[in-house]
Amino acid sequence: MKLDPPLTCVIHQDTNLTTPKPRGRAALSATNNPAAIVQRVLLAVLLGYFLSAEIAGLVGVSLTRFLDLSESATLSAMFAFIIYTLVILWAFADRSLIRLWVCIPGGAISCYSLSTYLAAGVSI
Amino acid sequence: MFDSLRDSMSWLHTWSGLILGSILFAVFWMGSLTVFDREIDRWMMPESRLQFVPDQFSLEAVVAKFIPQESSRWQVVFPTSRSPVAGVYYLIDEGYERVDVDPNTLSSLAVTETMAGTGFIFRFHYSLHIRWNEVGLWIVGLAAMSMLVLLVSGVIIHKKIFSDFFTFRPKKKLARSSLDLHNISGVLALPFHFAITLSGLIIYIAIYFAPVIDRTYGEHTNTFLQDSAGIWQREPAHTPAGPLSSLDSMIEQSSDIWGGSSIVYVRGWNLDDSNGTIEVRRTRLDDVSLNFDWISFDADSGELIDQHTAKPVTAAQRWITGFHFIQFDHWALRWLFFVLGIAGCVLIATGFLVWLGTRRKTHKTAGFQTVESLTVASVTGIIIATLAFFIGNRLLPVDANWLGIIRSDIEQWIFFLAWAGAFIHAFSRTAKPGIAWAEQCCLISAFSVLAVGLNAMTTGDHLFNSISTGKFAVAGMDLMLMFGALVTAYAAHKIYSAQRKHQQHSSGNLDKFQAEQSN
Repeated sequence: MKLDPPLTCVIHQDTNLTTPKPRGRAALSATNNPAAIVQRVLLAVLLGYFLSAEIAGLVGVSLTRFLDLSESATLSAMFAFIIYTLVILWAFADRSLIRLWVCIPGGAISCYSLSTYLAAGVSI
Repeated sequence: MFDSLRDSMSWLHTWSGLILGSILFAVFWMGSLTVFDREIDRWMMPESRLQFVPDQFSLEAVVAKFIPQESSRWQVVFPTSRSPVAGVYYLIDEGYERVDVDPNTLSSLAVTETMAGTGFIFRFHYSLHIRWNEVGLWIVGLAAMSMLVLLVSGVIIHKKIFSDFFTFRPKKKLARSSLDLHNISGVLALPFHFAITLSGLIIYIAIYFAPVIDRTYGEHTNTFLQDSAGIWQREPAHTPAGPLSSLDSMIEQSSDIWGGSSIVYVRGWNLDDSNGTIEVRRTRLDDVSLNFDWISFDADSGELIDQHTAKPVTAAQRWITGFHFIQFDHWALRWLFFVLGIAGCVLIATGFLVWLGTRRKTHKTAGFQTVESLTVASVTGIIIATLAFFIGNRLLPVDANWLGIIRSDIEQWIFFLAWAGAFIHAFSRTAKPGIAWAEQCCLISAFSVLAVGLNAMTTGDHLFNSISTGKFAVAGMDLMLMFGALVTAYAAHKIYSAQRKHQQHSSGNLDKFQAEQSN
């Protein structure tokens, strides 16, 4: 969803004309926004952990239809490390911090709710 | 984060590598040594340098001779070719006793009080010896996750992964040749590094991803460990026990059930009760898997009560765990793991060098200096500390007990004090670039030679003796120490000659400049 008013686009174009955007190493050394970095580290390492644990937990609960409890838990917990790796990479790759703030905690809460709902269903 | 994925990944690779690289190096270094932990044990515990003949070992004889009748709980670890001592542990008067038994003569052996490879180096590898609340385990876990992230982001930022594979320019500037070495060790060993890191994490699923197991069990009682490992205990009957049934026939039965496999250890439980059990555990030598297989017998009647084999997914997890532990009997693979582990150390160390090399000219700041000193202390420093640990083991008297600190703890203090010393040295020798590296390399070289010499002097097992009497664990350790001494001596020589050249070059310029001025 791009809702930028046209004015900002013009400004962007102007800056592009006068000073070309830094690329490569120059772009990397231009990272002087500590607040954004702290947010990304928090999103990746801590909230990302909860997201991956909850995704894997949901997979684990779903697998109990086909496998024993300990087998489902082992299989999903093994995959959790792969999920976590991808979540960390995503938290640093995505340009939009807002999207990350919505998706990572939101995803974790949704998966948690769904898996507790499913687990309750299984035990009944 | 940035406009292009490559820029974002490049940033992530740089900074996560910089922040967790020191811990990663320590973990990779200790992990590589752990591949040969039992050989290090033999080197550090000279009494255990035995020739073991497997067929002569009788559990019954060992239990009869070394475990008192009134002991209700005991364990006997079977001897193997890599670890040729039978370990006897038994509970008596609320405390455990340990006896090391020579399986050939069935006599007890003197024990050098040391944590050695399996106690110190192996535990350092996965916990950094920070036991409080398992913080060490979590730090290693975080470093391992960063390794996975570093590997994936490293692949993404590479444009020409195939041509980098064949590019090594040792004669170019250090920044260039260390980048080449970083790429070669990274690309060549990439599958191994990914597999070893992931498998290392998977060992601890029950700790690292405990929430996943909790969710899966949901409303059920969480009996994960009981279900997957088959942990099981028999309730005591509170009636006195009869005489112990034949242990050797239990071993024979178990071996038959497991298709001729041998035994890793046997445990006795509640032997003062009529519901006493004997638990027999299958060896991990003949298969990759670090299996959970056990068989339980009634101690009095000798009847088989229960047995356990992991279910398919858990068996896969045990296979992955066994792959990481590399305890199975395969020397070629063990050496390959060692070499690839050292390649991981090279990868991490050269990663630091690339960071430093690309900033040397532009960023002569305090931060740069700190990173350089930190790199020296965490790369050559930990090697010095390890060697000091070996030397301390050979120099300390057998009954050392200083200021109430027992011998095995003094050895660990030596390790950590030597490492702290390396830190102080690295942070104080910053005037000339490379001088801290060169001096620590010299020290590694000297310490390695000293360790070999001390082993020969204190045990008489010099290289000729150890090879001719078949003590290959000791010979291998000595040879690796000497090889390390050569490599580090060469590295120090290269740094010193580069410095000399640099000095001549700059003083030559000065002469020319002065000559021009006088004209």
